[in-house]
Amino acid sequence: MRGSLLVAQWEFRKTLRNRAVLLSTFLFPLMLITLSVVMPVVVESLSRQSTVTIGVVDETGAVWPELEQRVEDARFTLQRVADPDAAERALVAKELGGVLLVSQAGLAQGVVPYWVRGVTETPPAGLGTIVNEAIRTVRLREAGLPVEEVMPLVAGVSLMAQPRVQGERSVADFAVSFGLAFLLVLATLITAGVVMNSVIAEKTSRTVEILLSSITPRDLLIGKVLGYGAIGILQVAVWAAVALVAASRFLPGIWTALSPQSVVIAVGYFVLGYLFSASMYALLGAMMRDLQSSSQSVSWVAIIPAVPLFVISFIIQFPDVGWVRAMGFIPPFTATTMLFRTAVTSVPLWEILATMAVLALTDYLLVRLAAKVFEVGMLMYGKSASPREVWRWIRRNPSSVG
Amino acid sequence: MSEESVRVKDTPLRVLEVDGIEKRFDGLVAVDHVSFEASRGEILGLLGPNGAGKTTAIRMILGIIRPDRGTVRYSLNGGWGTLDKRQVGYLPEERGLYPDARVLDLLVHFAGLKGVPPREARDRARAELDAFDLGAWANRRGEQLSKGMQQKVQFIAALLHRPALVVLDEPFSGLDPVNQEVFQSIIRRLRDENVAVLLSAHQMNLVEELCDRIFLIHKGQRVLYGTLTEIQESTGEHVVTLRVSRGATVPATLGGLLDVRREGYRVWGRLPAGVEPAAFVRGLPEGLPVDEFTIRRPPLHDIFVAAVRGGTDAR
Repeated sequence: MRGSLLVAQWEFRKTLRNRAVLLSTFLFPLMLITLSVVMPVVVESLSRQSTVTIGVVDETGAVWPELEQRVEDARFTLQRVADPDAAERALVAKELGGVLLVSQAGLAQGVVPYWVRGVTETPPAGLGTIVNEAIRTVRLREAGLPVEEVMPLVAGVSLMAQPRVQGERSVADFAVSFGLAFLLVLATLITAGVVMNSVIAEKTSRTVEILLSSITPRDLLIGKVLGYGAIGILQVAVWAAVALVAASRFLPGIWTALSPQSVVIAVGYFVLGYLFSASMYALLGAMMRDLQSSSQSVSWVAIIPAVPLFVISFIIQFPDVGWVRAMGFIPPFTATTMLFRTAVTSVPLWEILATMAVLALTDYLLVRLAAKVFEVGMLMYGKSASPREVWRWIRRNPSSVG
Repeated sequence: MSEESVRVKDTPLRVLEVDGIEKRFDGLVAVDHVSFEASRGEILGLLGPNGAGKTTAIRMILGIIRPDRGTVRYSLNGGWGTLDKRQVGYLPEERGLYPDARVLDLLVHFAGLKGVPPREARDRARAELDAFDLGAWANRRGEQLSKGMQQKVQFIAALLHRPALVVLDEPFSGLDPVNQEVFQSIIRRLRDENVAVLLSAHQMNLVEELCDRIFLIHKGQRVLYGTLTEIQESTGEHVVTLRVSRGATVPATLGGLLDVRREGYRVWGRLPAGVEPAAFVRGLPEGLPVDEFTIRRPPLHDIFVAAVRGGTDAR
């Protein structure tokens, strides 16, 4: 174990001096802030500067005045057009961004056509509300009803979800679990692959022979996984700290609702999930000849923790259905699935402990397996090992696995 | 030469006992029932052509790979037992340093893996770097060093923890004559300091100069094992060199001499086993104007070539 710690310490220090790692540690959160905070502000500001003109062909003559007085949004203006032909010409000539066609026949069917140039164009936000209010006002007036009195009675309502069951997740709990699930995927993509590169580099530079004359393959592997695991966790800690500061800035008081239990569970899944990826990468590194031959493998290992992302909407909507719960017990998907599940629902403690135990046991067995592959594969120069060869090594000497 | 005659007596000096080790890769025999010993204060030469099984044998001795059969026993800390890797130093044939790590840091790291505390490792590393004229390179990265410098750094790494057994796989390859001399003197110093040295090299002249005993392996099997004198005597042959005076004629035949080569006034030849040197001398033509005459046991180079070409049975 002493050898593992020395290797971990060495890899940690060496990697921290790596400019690429430093950049991804500190530049990534800056990039994240830029994308999530600055960019929306910039886009908002730019969209305010660019307004779109919507043409209105009002065959009824009654709707236009109501529409005209309701336009407050600077993102679009309304312009009355005499007839549909003129409106279409202006639309094709890009003088108009869209055309509303208000007719008695349409109103009778409850439809107001909105002409656009292509299928990708949509009505600007807020236009639908204005049109509805205007038409509702005209209808009330035509029915001889007092508009000011009736309008509040027919106004719609919006649904606001407010969890009231005790023990359910707060917004802060949700943010921590959900955020760590995405960080796990990102960290696996960005940093866990460094373990594999390091293993391959030692193999190609032959340094591995010196190392294995000093320590066992298992110590070397555990040291690498721990060293790079510490790097990954440090990176995520930096990113999380930035997120915490940013969240406090925009949502003051949000973190007071955060429960320590949620943090421990989320961090636990993150660490175990990250170790799983790191061990997988180390195993691949021991099998691979060089960085070129490893590039194909990187992609499928990197995608493992991301698999639950493909069904994320289902997990969030139905976190307690059988197959989602079962997915939590499949080690490659455990961490991400459970981080998503714990983000949106209260998972029974036994299930949390059981899935963590399954993942921890898998990590342990994976490290032992990888160590065995290390022992033979690290000294295999010039060719990559096939899965069949790896299986033969394990079978040949199962007692030495790990 | 019998196996018993070359076995080192069971004294406390012996540190390594390799007994019948075998290793196969994909059905091919890399090392086939090989046995030898190494003791403190001696340099054991491990010789063989490329692909003979030397490096595989070394890796089994170092515990990097396991033998399929046979055992390796160690007495590095007093009693016999399993391998204590802290007591072994290794310079592999394939050189390699971390390209992005500073020289001093990696020496401290390697020594740390062998159990040397960081401060002590740092002091020793600085001293050794100075001794090898590399003091100015202590804070440079591995990739900034020339090949020769990297080799020196690896040599230092193999010795920094002051091991009881040092395994050097091709330490002289790629070195200029000056640095070969430096390495040679350090290997001799190790022997003087009672360290057991296992030396694998292709430079036969250096092996002859350095090694106390020699183990020649070919196709995974032992071919020769013993001291240089024992191995030379085991061939039963002698090598003759003769130079006659300028203007004289070298006889067309020289009694019993085989594989004769001539160049000007000089003649070389092999005196086969069973022909006494004295008898050969007596058989030289009377009045032959000899300027130079030597008769000696064959050099290691010739023995090696003959053994590898199949001229020598396993001894």
